[in-house]
Amino acid sequence: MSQTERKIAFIGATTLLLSSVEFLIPKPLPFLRLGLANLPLLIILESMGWKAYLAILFLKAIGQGLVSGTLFSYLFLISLAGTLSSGLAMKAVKLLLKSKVSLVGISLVGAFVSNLAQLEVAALVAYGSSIWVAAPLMLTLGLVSSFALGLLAEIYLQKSSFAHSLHDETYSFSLPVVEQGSYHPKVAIASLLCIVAILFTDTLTYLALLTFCMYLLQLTARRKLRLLPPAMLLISLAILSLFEPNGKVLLSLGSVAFTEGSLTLAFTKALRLMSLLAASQCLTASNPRLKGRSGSILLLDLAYFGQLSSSFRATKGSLVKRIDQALHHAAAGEDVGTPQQQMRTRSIHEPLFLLLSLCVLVIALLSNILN
Amino acid sequence: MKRSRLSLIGDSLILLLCILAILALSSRTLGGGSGYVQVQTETDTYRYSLSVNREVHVQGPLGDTHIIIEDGEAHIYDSACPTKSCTFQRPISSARAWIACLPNKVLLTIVGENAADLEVDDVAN
Repeated sequence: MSQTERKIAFIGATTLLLSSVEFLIPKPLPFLRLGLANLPLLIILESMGWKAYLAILFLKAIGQGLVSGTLFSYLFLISLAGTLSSGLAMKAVKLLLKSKVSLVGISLVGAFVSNLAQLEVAALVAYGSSIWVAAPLMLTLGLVSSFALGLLAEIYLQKSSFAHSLHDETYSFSLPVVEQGSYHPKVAIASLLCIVAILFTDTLTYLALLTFCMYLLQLTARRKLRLLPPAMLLISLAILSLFEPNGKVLLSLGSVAFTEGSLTLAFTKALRLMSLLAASQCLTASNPRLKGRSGSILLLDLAYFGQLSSSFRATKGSLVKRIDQALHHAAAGEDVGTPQQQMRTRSIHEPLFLLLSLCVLVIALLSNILN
Repeated sequence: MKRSRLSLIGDSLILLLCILAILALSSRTLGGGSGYVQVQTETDTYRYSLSVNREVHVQGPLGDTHIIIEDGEAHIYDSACPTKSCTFQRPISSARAWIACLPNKVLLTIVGENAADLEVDDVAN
């Protein structure tokens, strides 16, 4: 593995570390995002060539999808659109304006383009065009947070010892132990069948039953259940349904009203997306084989991320200090984390998983026969 | 020093462009509401977006009233009333316009329309 490839994987891993750090920062509203994961992109924008830069963009999106388990769902499409479009726009602005623009301006462009692309794809794959009512608020919040992020990147580039050693071509990255969890082909096939089942189930009650089974499946696959994202999805789709009234008025709020038809549609959509997300989690848990050169870079990316996060957890002090410490430790190959933590991941109970997937298929079949 | 001043111009230009784009976008999304048609029957209230073409059937004391929503306008196509006068009323699309089928107790009104259309309609009436 060449030094450039190691560097690409390492920078990709730092974006993963920062996205998990972002989860630790308390925010007043769940949909507010700082976009910390874009910090490494801003910092390496000038020093990396097109090819390496593009590779890092893909590593960021795919790595986040693998770590959060959303790789095989609509959420991945939204995140990929945001990462690629903003990444390309930032590089293009830098090439065009050169020294006439600072990282603050570039960060502003990146956030703006990313939000636009995410809204467009979100409208296409999940929410429908009424999502655009959220655009002004999202874009304005994005400007504020990206402004702060740009300033942070400028300061970091000037002050950090690590950023300087990163620019220095002679800096060498150690190669961590790369190991891949065992592949569960049956789990993968069952999850894929579940996805088909979800797509062919229409009625609200059957979908609710299906979603419940899918969450049981996700637990069986040993993926953590998070309740906030699906709750947010349900609420936001219900609110958006106000703009597309259809049917009997259930509750009138001034000039808008919740109507039977559009609420049913919103809940159907939300439940389907929720179960698809759970299916994506199961598919991720089956540990799909990563092959080829790009596969091995992705594996290295995940290995660096493992080192980064374990040494981040092991260090004390301020957030910035912990991040800087983690970077130095992981790059030098000093694993400070406890190795038992990685070994503790228990294996999937396959028979139970297959039984539950069978339930999902039966529910889907029943909904199609009985309706 | 020269470099940072140069970048200040570029940065503020980008910020200005972003703000302008947000303003343009918000005026488009907030101003372009296509309005909803509200259908009141003796017992229930229904609401439909005018931007989606569809046919709606509601029940009154005499029977079925058939409403068609098409190209942002709504009209009564057929109703279980003796005179059928409601079916001859012109399609409605803007605030304060209404169609009623009195015998079958069905009332169509437009809600959620913006102020500009309201004025135009006042002049037209």
